[in-house]
Order: sequence, then structure tokens, then C-alpha cells
Amino acid sequence: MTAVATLPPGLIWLASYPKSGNTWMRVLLANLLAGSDRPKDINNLSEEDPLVSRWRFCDDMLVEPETLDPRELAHLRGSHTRFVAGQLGSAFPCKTHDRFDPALGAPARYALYMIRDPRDVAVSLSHHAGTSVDGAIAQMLDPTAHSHGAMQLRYPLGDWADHVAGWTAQTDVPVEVVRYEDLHGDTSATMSRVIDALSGTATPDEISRAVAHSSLGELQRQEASHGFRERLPGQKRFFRTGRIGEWRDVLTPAQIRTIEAACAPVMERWGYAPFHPGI
Amino acid sequence: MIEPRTQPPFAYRMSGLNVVSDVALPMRAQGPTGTAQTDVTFHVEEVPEHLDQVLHCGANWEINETSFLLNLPEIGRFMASDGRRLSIFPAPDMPVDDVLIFAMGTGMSAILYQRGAMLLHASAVVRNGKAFLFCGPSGAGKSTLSAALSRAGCDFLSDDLSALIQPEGGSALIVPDGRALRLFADSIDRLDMREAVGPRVRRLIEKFHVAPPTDDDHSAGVPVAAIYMLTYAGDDQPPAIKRLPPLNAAQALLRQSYRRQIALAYADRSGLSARIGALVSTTGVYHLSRPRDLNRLDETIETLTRHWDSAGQA
Repeated sequence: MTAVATLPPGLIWLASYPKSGNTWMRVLLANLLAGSDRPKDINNLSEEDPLVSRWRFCDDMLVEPETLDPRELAHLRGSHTRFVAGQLGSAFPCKTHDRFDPALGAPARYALYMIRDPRDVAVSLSHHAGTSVDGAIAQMLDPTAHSHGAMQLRYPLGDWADHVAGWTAQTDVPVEVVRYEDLHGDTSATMSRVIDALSGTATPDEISRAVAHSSLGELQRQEASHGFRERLPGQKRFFRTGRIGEWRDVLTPAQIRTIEAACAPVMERWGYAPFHPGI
Repeated sequence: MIEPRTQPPFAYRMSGLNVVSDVALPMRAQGPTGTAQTDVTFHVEEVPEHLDQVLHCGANWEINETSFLLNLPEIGRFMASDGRRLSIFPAPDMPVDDVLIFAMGTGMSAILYQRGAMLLHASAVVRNGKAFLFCGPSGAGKSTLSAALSRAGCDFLSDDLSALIQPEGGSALIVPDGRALRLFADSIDRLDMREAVGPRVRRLIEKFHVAPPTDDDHSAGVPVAAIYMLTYAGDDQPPAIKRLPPLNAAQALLRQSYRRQIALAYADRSGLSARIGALVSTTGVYHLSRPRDLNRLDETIETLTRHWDSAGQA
């Protein structure tokens, strides 16, 4: 089948706090742009390596990230992003969990910012990182949080509320905010809105096919039979439930209160009503 | 210990070449330079911001007919010319010994590519006269694995840069890197190599030069018996080795070229694609997945040893 769905050339940030639907959006876009009658292999989405990949940084910049101090690394990451963005002849949807930084973020043509109810993020993050829910919440409220893995550069993450506010309020890059709950509720309509925002083209049939090829059932089927290379060591499975509102069954009242006390203004701005209003 | 001489010029053996330097390098020095032919010289001297008539470039590097230039703002500039001269120009207030890692890694690789070399981002050890290479990006555990294998009786050959020679009609040979191991403190502790620790790789970086545990002479080159692509499996998984089909093996080797963008820029000079084809046709290329936990390093060593014994490779 011929691929006709298109996106204009340029760097598109797929930005989010972790566990907010970033991988799902990547799989959706990869399936849409492939236009195949079979689902894309989740371990071979034919994407460019993301700019936060250690291999990619070293390959393009010719220095090992571990030989740089944090200031030097930040400086070179900015040059790297500007250079890559300036050379692109096709669309490059690039995953990032970085806190917004104009020096790093500005060269992009567009940003899709994925947001999810922080109470569900806490549940998902605890499973993903193999930590307690309290540990996950502590990370989400830590303004100095950094993240890194064996395959990724160390990058500043910050706390959940600042992450959301930083990306959604900045004016350097046009941004389309996508709520995980909306993507979950009506995936086709949300993807149609995303493609319009990115000035891309896709027919309703292409979107429907991409949505079917990216369903949670399909992703879980692939992970069960072949694994998923982005799963963390010790993590049982990456594609878990994707459930909306799981926090109501999992979080304690104290945990809910802790998240809402720190995040309520941002939560309300994006339609996540506090369980304990007025704290 | 790695104890540099105190007076220039300093002489070294790197990837099969005789190197004479204005500045002491963090690796084992050779004796007086004597009559040995000098292949490459290192100089601390001014380097221009840009090259003329650039043929290839990246965000922070340029290549023209004669030279390769690496520009690291606030760190320094480095220029490799004609496969013979490496110029090191530290940024103001940056001590020269804090930038040598870039000269010895990227700068020296450009010199080698200018001379037509094929380089892999791999550590290497020797067992029973045959070389085994371990490829992977920074953070993949190359140094730690080669250090552990050296502790287990193999000879150490290379830390992260493996230069391959392809003799006419023969199998590929690898020549010793000559540089020290570079290890983080946790690996040094796990491998009980504290006595061999030398200076930090850079002043603010918690990684150290470590003298290799063996010092056998493999300067004539060692035949390559197998190449492994390192990946981490989950900690609940045992180490596993799987052979790659030829096309995947060729793709993996190209991806693991040391400073691949420089390799591609000089690909015509080195005959890169033909050499990768020749290597894949004569040498097994495998995926080696193993747990990240340093306390389970011995399981990986056992798996490799079994593989070598069963395949009759060593």
C-alpha cells in the first residue's frame, strides 16, 4: 500500500513528562507515515535516533557525553539540535522528556505536548521505574529531578507542574497540547486534530488504520511475543493498562492530597479536577 | 601505574603508530625516541576556527582535503592534518591536560582515518592468540567487560578504539590501542583494580585512567576471531549470544564505526564498504546481551568462555 499521509519537513518535538503517552504517539505517527497494511514493529519503528540518545549525540558531535561536564553538555546539545533542525529534509518527530529550555527547544518547527492526569502518571511511573508510589510522587514533585538511562544523555526533568507549565506556556515554538485522556477517548479524532495542527495530510482511512495498528492490544501482543527494547531492566512490561483514573483504586488519600497540593493550579488549567478541592 | 616522563618530547605507541608529543599523555610512555620512525606528532599550538573549502561538516566539526577540525567551545579546538600532525589548542583558562581526552580519542581517530584505517568503537582482548572485540556506544560496558576478561586471563588489547588491518587475502588483524582503560569508580571497585588507577579522565569527571592488567606484546597484530555487539538484557535474564545474519552484521559494524561520521567522510580513502563486507564474510558477528548488574559479570565471562570453547574459536 502506498503511504500518502505526510508531515512537512522539520523537527517536531514529541514532548511530555514520562508516562504520559509519548511512546503511544510515536507509534501512532510511525504507523500513519508508514501507511502499511501491517502494524509497525514496535522495536523497529524506522525512526531516526532521538537527539537525547547517547549514540546519536556521540555520532553527530564526535565526543563522548560522559567526558563533558553538565554545562558543556548543555551547550553542545543546543548546537546539536540547531544543526540537525537546520538540515532536515523530512519530518523528524523527536521524543523528549526534557524540561523546556529555549536554547534546546527553540529550533523545532512545532511541539506536540502530551499531558496526563498526574495522579495516573504517579501510578504508571511507579510501575515503570519499579519504585513505590511515594517514590514516584517524590520524583514528580522534585524541581531538581534529572533523568538518564544507559542509552540516554542525562537531562533535566524538573517537577511535573513546571514541566507542563514550561512547555505549554512558552512562545518560542508553536505547541499543540494533547491530553492522554482525549487520545484514549477518541484516538482518531485526536490524531486528526494533531495532523491538522502539524499542517500534515492524512485521510480518515489512513488514520483509522494507524489507530488500529497502534492499539494497546496490538502493542501488548508485540511486547509479549518479542519484548520491547525501551522497557527498563526489572520492569515486567512497558505497555501495561493505559487505564484512565486508575489512581482512584491505587492512591491513598494522603498521596492524592500530596499531588494536588503541589499541582492543583496546573491540573485545573488542563481539566483535571482535584479530588480534594481547596487544599 | 601510569607515570608519564617529565620532559618532552614524549613517545608513545598508539594503534600501531609511533607518536611523539609536546605534552605528556595519560598512557604508558615508550623509552627515548631513538631511531624509531615517527608517524604522528602532537603539538600544543593555535588552531583556526574554520577550515577553507569544507567538504564535510557537522555542528562542531569540518573536514577538507587535508584536515579535520573539531571545535568544542570553552574546551578547545583540535586539528588533524595529513594523517601526521595533531594540533591541540585549549580554550583560554582550560588546562591542556583537561582536553587531552579529545585529542587522543576523536583527534587520533581522524589521523588514523586520514591514513586509511578502519576503526570500530570496541574494546578488545586476546585469548590463545585470537582477538575478541566488544562493540557498543559509550555506556555499553566495553571497558568493564574487557577489564574483567583481562582479570580472567585474557590479554588486554584496546579500551574503546579498535583499529583493524586487512592484509591481502588474509583475515583481519587488530593492533593494540596502547591507551589506558577508562573506568568509573564502581567498576574499579568491582574489579579490584584500585592499585592500577591513574589520573582522572578530566578534572570534573568521575572516570579514571587505569593501567591495563596485562602487558604482552601484540604489536604485530592479532587475528580477529569474533565481534560482539553489547546490549543489556533485563536483570532477570541470563547472558545470551546470538549470531547476526550477514546483512545485519554489516549494518551493525557500520553503526559501530568509531566516530562514524569521520569514517563516512573518509570512506572512499579507506574502502570502508568493501572492508566491512570482507570482515563479515570471514568473522562471526554476534549479539551479546547480559544483565547490567556488575555483580553478575562473572556469568557473562562464563558464557563467553563456553562460547569460545564450543565454537572452537579460541
